[in-house]
Amino acid sequence: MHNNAPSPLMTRWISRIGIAISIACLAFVGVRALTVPSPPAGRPATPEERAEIAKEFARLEPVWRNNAKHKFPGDHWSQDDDFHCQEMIHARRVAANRNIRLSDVFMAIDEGLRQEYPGKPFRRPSARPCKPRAFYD
Amino acid sequence: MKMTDRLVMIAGTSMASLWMRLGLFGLLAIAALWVALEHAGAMNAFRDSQFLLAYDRHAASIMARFWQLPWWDPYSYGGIYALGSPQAHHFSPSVLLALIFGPIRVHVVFVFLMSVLGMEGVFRYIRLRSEHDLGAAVAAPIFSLSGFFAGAYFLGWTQFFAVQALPWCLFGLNLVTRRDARGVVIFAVSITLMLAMGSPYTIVMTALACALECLRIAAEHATRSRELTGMLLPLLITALLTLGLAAYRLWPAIETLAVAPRIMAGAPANSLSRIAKILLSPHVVTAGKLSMEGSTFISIGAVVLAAVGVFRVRSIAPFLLTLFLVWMATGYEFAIAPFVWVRQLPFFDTLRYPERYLVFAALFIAELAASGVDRLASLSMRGPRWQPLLLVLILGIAATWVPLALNYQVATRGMSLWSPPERIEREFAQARGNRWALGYYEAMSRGSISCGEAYMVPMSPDLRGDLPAEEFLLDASAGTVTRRKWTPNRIELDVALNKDATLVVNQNWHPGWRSSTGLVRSENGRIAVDLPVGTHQLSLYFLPRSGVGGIAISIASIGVLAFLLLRRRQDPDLIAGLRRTPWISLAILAAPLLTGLLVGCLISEPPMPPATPRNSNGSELILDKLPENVTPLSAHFEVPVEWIGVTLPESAKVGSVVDFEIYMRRTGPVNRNVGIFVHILGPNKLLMADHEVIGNSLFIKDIPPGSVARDAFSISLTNAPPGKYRVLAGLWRASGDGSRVHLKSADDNRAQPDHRLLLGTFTVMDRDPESEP
Repeated sequence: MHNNAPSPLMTRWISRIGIAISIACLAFVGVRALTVPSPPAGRPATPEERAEIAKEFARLEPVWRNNAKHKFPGDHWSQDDDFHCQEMIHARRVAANRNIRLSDVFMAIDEGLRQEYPGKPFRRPSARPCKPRAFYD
Repeated sequence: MKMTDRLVMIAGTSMASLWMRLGLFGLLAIAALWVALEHAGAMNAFRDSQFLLAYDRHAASIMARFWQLPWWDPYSYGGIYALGSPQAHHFSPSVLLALIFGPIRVHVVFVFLMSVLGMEGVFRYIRLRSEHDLGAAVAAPIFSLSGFFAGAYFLGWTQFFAVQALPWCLFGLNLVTRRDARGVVIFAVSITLMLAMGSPYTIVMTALACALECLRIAAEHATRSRELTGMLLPLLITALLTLGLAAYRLWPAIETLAVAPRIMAGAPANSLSRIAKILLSPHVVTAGKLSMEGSTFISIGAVVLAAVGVFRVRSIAPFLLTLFLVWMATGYEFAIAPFVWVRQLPFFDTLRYPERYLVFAALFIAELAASGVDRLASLSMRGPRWQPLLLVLILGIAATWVPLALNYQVATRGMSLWSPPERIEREFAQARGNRWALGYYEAMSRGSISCGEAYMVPMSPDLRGDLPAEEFLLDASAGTVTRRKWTPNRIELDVALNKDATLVVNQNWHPGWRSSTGLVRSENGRIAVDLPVGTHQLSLYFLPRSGVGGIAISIASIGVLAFLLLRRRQDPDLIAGLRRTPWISLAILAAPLLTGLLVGCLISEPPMPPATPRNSNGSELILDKLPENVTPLSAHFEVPVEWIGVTLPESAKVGSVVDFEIYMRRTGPVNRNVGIFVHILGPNKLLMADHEVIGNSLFIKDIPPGSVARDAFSISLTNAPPGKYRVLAGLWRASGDGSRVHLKSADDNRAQPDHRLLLGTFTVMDRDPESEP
């Protein structure tokens, strides 16, 4: 295929062009990654809003726990995991409806659980040790 | 020179230039990641990415905010040993980049770099055996921009980009068999990179690819037995130095997996038509879910180019390897299945999804396509009649590259994205957390106890996410504890005690935790120190022997690899170079091992106790004898398993969850595929509770001889009509042909004609009208 060998000049120029393209690609990716804006996060929630949210999640928790209990009977970690999935979905909904930061919703849940201490919390302030299911297919 | 000849010559010459290749691969990677770059500032919301990508965030935060190496990650699951967690990547190059680009934006940059690296690796691997540069360069994206990586980006499985190092592994292996020291370095670095990126399962699959490559090399040298035997010593040196270089990750990870194994059951299968869709249909994203079709998309163009290249002698090996890997990818589909065979091997039994072998097949399809490109290019230069083939070639290249880039864009456009978290500076504490949103917790100065890892992370059941203080006394009346300074790897406390007491830290215990006063021990899985009465300025710090030892071995191995490269300047032949100064060479080669032994002797550490196998409901799985409250039974099967007891409910209400237990013994070797089927027959209702693994923890084949295994499982009676229910159960070949294991004998007329065992009956009663639904 290469019966006609390229001239040294051509080889040199190809190499130079290659360096220029490589650097340009790297620079483009780096600059683009650094400068592209993040999606809007919503406003910070007020302490009153967080207290409301905490109560709402506390009220819904037994329902989600019950759903999880029937979805994964006898499998404690999976029940917890399913509960957390429902909690996350609702957290996204709450953040979107109130136009607040998602992290503030999770902070509100955390604050709500801490307020129950040191009495006898009706919710479980922990999560089961990791025990992934053996079968996902 | 004719125009076509000139064009082909310029293209070939360009691809011979490293920089031009990198430029081309960079442009192709940008085209593929175009949409991903638009979203660089957004957080991937997919559940797995939340905890996998959080590892970068945690590691970068520990380094930048606390000036510590990320040995211990307190933000994940109540605290994990970062080097010992198989999928963690706290010591990966991505973390260094995260310090520059931030924990969110780093992902796309890292993927870009890995993609370019992967394409160059494919080029070099193909070029080992091909005659021209053009085909190898054109074919490289078939592997590196395949749907496998597009899917991995979508899912946040950043560790899967470690597979981009596969062609480098095989390239290095070939150089090793040519007794070239560069091969040792390339191979060792590639494997270490895979481990660093948190992809031990990729290494298991890569081991198979390396075995196939060795067979290929052996076949190529079949008539030269002296050359073949001459490869053995370089291969042995490579294996040892790879273990040495990767020791910093390998030692801790093996230590963890030994006590917290990953159990994987199931009989996954793919039909040939499904495999065709996986390879040839592009990704489709529906409602935030990525289709299985396209999960190793390689494009029609690649297949056409491969078809052109397949009819050549040199294409026999890649063609056969492709066929074998496609066969592997069929899993349990056919009676004769290599996937099932390799699952008998250690570590391979933890792998699932046989279709993942298709990405290995993509490498060999790329080799065939490269052959096709070179053939078309050569033919087009034969004369005017053949010139239209150049147009075919250009169309073939376009039909390969464009769909690959578009497929990547489709996958990345369909991603569910969130805004990144805002940092909230405050004292660290564990939260109950949420692994589905784990990426948010470190920024809130919180750890998430909720865990979604793929193995049984050693975690304490006593961790709490509501404590007023993370360090406290078990007996609160014994004194006070004041946090003086908190960092992930070191906690400094002032403790004033009016009597002897136990200090507890609300984090998972690991034997690598040490204390300036007293001995650190496990308090049901949490960090604890027994302290005498008095005041103490206590420092708790994490210094794991496997981490320190592993890093020392890795550093020693880097020295050995540098020695080999220096020696190569004097003698290109690896073995001849070592033989120049045999004793010095031997001493240097032994340095990593000696370093490991030295560290092992200098740093003492109690062994990590093995995890107690438990059922999914938390009950102990292995017992010494049958508990007293269990109904005894005696049933023998054609495999050496004996069922000796059962507990059933007498009655239950509609809408409740009922629990069952079967007690069994294993008296001989049993195949892995033997599982338990449970049929619960009621009035017009069949409930099933089949399972292959006892309590998601133990295959029947692994029940320790002489012990009693308790298999606890439950069912929901949500829609069960009231009435009498019969519980029938037995053994079956769950991952095999699905047939029942014959029941040899059973007491009390429990044996049923269809090899089912009647365990008993219970009554389901109507729920109370006032009760909760």
